[in-house]
Amino acid sequence: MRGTSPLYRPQSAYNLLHLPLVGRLLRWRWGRLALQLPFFIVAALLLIDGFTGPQNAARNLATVAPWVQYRGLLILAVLLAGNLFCMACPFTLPRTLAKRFSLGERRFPKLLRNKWLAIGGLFVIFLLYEWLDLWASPWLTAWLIVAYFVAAFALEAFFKESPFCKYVCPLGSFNFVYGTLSPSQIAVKNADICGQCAGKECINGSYSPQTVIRLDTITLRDAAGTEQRYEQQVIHGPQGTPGCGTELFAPQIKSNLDCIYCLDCARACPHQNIGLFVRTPGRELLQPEAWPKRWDVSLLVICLAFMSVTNAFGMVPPVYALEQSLIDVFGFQSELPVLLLIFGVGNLLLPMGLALLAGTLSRTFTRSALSLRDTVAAFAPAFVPVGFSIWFAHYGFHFLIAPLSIIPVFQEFMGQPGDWALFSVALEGSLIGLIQVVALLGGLLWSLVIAQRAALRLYRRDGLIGLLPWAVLLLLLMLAALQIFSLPMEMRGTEAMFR
Amino acid sequence: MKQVLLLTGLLALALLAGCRQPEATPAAGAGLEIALSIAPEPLATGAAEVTVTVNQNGQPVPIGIVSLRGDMTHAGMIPVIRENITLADGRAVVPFEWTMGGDWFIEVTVTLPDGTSARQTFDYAVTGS
Repeated sequence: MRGTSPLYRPQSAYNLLHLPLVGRLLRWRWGRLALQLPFFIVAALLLIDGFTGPQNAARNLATVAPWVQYRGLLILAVLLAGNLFCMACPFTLPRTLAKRFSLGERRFPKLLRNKWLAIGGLFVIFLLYEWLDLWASPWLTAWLIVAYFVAAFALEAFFKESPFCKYVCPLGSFNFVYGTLSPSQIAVKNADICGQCAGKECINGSYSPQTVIRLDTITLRDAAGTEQRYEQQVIHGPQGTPGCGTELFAPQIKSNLDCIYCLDCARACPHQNIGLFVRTPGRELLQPEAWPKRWDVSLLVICLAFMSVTNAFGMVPPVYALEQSLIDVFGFQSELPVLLLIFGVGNLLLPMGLALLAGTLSRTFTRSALSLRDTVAAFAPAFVPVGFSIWFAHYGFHFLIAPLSIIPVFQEFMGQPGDWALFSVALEGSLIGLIQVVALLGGLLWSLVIAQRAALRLYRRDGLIGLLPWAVLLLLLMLAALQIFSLPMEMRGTEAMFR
Repeated sequence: MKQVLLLTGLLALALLAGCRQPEATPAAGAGLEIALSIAPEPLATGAAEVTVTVNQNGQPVPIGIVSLRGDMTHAGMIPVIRENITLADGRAVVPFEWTMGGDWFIEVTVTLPDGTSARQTFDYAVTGS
């Protein structure tokens, strides 16, 4: 347990763990395993089809499931429910096995305990996606899935905490950032109990090689000020539950950032004091104390918003013209340096440079004494809704033009003829376009509200002028996305340019 | 016991891979030459007309059935399927549609009256409009 911030008691409406069936399943000792197993089986099917099936991306589970269905459903799930994918993530299923083969209790290197690796991981995955045309290759997608399993297993085996989830996994980083928009959050029911809990099982877990029994004495005051004391037996043993892998201390959780929704904390808590509560979507984006004032976290959010634009840019005709002009100017002989240049500028240099510029302008216009780091951190949450809306528009497009295509693909996998005629339903292009525009405008408005609140909080009467650079940046981001989505999509590889 | 169950499950999944339907022989293997021509050119999204020509030993195949399936290389796109088109004097004209710009490939399957079935795939790049 680290940090000195006060215990946190959210004003929560409803504990989802009290839902009749779902709540019971989630609280169950094997609840996460029950959610992970179906996804593990799905991952196994993808591997089988990816390695042995037809190398036609449109007819292979390994490409259709992750690049179309998963991305479309994930973005909806994050917005409407929470970080459900991390909750049921199959890659961490071998965690227990990895812990059994644990090669030591060493911590992840301190130098890497931040989000720089996550930014690097996201950069690499989007680069590989374009360079290797992963969307067109079941075989390479299957290898990517293998790489995820190996990386998760190795890092779990080598290190004490779960560094793969917290610091490395690009999928997890995406879910962490956009999970801040979701309407649910892990929180405690009564922070006073946490203050008196001796074992802090939510973070330390209740596993021990031998059975150990402890008695916690908890004193609570009711509304009338009357003290009530009760004793709680706490059992540690071989059947114990692990604590939070990403090392979040439940009563101090103020944000969904870094929360994988595994609910290990709720299962480990001997006082049944932890729940999954309904809350206002995006609550932490308006709460400065809930957002870390760190360069790595701020730039992760801002870079991810820009990545949403470059990722979509890779699918419209101007990218081919740009690539051709780079080939003409620099004489590149292969696609990798061209993509490195486009993605390096678009995904790293541009967001970082523009964030620094907007922060500097804000400080200059308002003569603010606040450091540049804290200024950028104050406005970084504003990039969450706009970034999300661009991803939503892009992934939603892929999902809605063939939402049921997974069914005939699965029929063919099972040896049956795929009923393509029946399952070839798609939403009208104009309706998809309307959904995209509404999402983008909604995202921009939400972002502007967050940025405006931050500006008023920081600069008070100078709020408008302090907001200006950030508002312009958010607007440009959204306009770039609108322009891209108004162009005809061209789904093609660019390797032909180098033949 | 857990390991046995896990191995059994994985084995069952692996067996699923063997369930797939057998594919037609490549055209060359069946002694057939399949050619495609598509109008209008340059290829752009919208309606198109595909002309399939099938020869056997240099002579047009007198009769047969042709099926086309157009897929994009990107996963998740709905295919354009045209089935059971009659092939006469080694030629069939098939109405087609490029539903989106990008990389496409058309798989042509030809079935002759004697049951011989052959397929060939053709790649195309289509411009969006």
